Amino acid sequence: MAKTRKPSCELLLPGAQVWQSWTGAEGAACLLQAEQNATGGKFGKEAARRVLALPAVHFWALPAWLKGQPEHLRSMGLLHLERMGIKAEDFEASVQVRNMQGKEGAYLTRILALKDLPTPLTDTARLPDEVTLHALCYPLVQNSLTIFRELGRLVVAITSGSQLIYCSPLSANRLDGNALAELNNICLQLGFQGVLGRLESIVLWIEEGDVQQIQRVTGLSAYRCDMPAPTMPERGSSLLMPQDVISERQSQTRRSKTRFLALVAGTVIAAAIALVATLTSLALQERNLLRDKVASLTPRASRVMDHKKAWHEAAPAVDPTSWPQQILLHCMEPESSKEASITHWEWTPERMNLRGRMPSASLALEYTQAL
Amino acid sequence: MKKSEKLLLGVFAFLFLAIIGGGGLMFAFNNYMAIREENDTLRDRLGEMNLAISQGADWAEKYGWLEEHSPNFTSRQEASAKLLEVITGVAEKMGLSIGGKEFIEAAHVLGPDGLPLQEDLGYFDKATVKITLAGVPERAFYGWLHSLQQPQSFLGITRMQINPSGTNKTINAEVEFTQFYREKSAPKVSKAN
Repeated sequence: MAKTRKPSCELLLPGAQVWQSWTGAEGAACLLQAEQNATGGKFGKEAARRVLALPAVHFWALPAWLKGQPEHLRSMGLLHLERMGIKAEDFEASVQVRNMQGKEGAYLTRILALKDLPTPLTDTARLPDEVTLHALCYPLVQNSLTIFRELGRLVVAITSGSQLIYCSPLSANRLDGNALAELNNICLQLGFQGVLGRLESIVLWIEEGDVQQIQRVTGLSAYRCDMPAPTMPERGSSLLMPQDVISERQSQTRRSKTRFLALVAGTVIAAAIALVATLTSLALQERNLLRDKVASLTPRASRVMDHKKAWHEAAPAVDPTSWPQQILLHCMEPESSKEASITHWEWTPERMNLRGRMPSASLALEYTQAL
Repeated sequence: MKKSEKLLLGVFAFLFLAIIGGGGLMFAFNNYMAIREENDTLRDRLGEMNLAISQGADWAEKYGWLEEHSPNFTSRQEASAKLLEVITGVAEKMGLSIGGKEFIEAAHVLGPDGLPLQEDLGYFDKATVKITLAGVPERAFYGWLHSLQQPQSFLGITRMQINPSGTNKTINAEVEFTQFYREKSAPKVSKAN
């Protein structure tokens, strides 16, 4: 029976009320795997690639018309954020500036900046490979304003063409008159900035809200539909990464490195101990063997050694090879001895002392070496 | 725990491990080297013993000859007198005039009990005399030595000093002759027995 292969990508996103774990292939619609709690989510063990979709409250997602060279869009985007009083670090992991459309040297860009908020992960043992904005995981309707819920909060996402250009949580908790006024205010501000294109409709991914009232207040056609399944973001589509996740990853790398070094050190020490123990054991075995052999040979050998010592003691009397005449003859054997005039010759069985004269130092050396 | 405390703890742990572990390892290594050294010594000794055993028959034969031919005297004085008599007798025959004669007492290393050490005693008793000759002809001198030194006589030269006198191939010499013997009254017990 053929075994179904499990999807290798996991997408953790904030659902309407709780965190949800979805799985699927890259660029394809995902399947809901499990629902978790509202405080935070955690990744499963099996996924090879993990994507964390953070709620809109973790981001500044703003559109802006920026005038200048396309390669300077990022710097201009950072200046735009600064002008708006938003402090953002100049890191690829903190701010993403994307060009949406260009016209007469000006570019409509979407600035996506991470806020300095703790990442809502309940288990940091498995960290995300990529982090993205939750709203970017859905196929949004073109030139529309979409309203949905993230962990109980109302969120509005606005598209220009098919691209998301604005996303922000609403202050209102229910889609009532206050919420609609807030929507109008947002649209007005974006209109003043000239970043809002031609809005065609309002899409409701929530059950609440009076469609007639919305149409009457906003002047746009509104309709309600089911929230679609999220799409697994393509690999490398987002370089954003919260600082606490980066720190945790570095900490994990350091811990892993420390564990590896400790393991290597332990292995080396264990190997050294084993080596010394083995060598010592082998040397001890050899020593015991040698001691046994020496002990077994000692009685026979000591008798022979005694005979030898007795002979050597009497050698000056009984062994002609060790007589001084023989040694004197030996001193006369080298060819260079013909040149030597010896002035002093002293001999005992243990040593010999010879003094004399030679025509040159080299001959003296030659004679000494010959002796 | 603060980071600095962690760092300090890590440094102390490392130092502790380095000192204790390094010390233990050094001790084990030194112990191993000491065993190796002992093994080398034992191997050398075993080689010497095997060589000695392989030559055992030769040495036993030589020892047997020594036991058979070693002269016996009742005392050291007798041995010394006999030694001097032989030396002067041969010298007279060869026409050599002996300048000086001096009996030399063997210096023994004493043990803690005041007696000579067993290793220092040797296998034979010895009587030594120092002879001084001045301006003797070389040929006569060597002939004298040759006449005196016969293996069966157990008379050996244990020190000899020669200096040319500077006139007509004559030399000045100092020779110590030693008589190896066994005392008859109290036969010496050989180590080999």
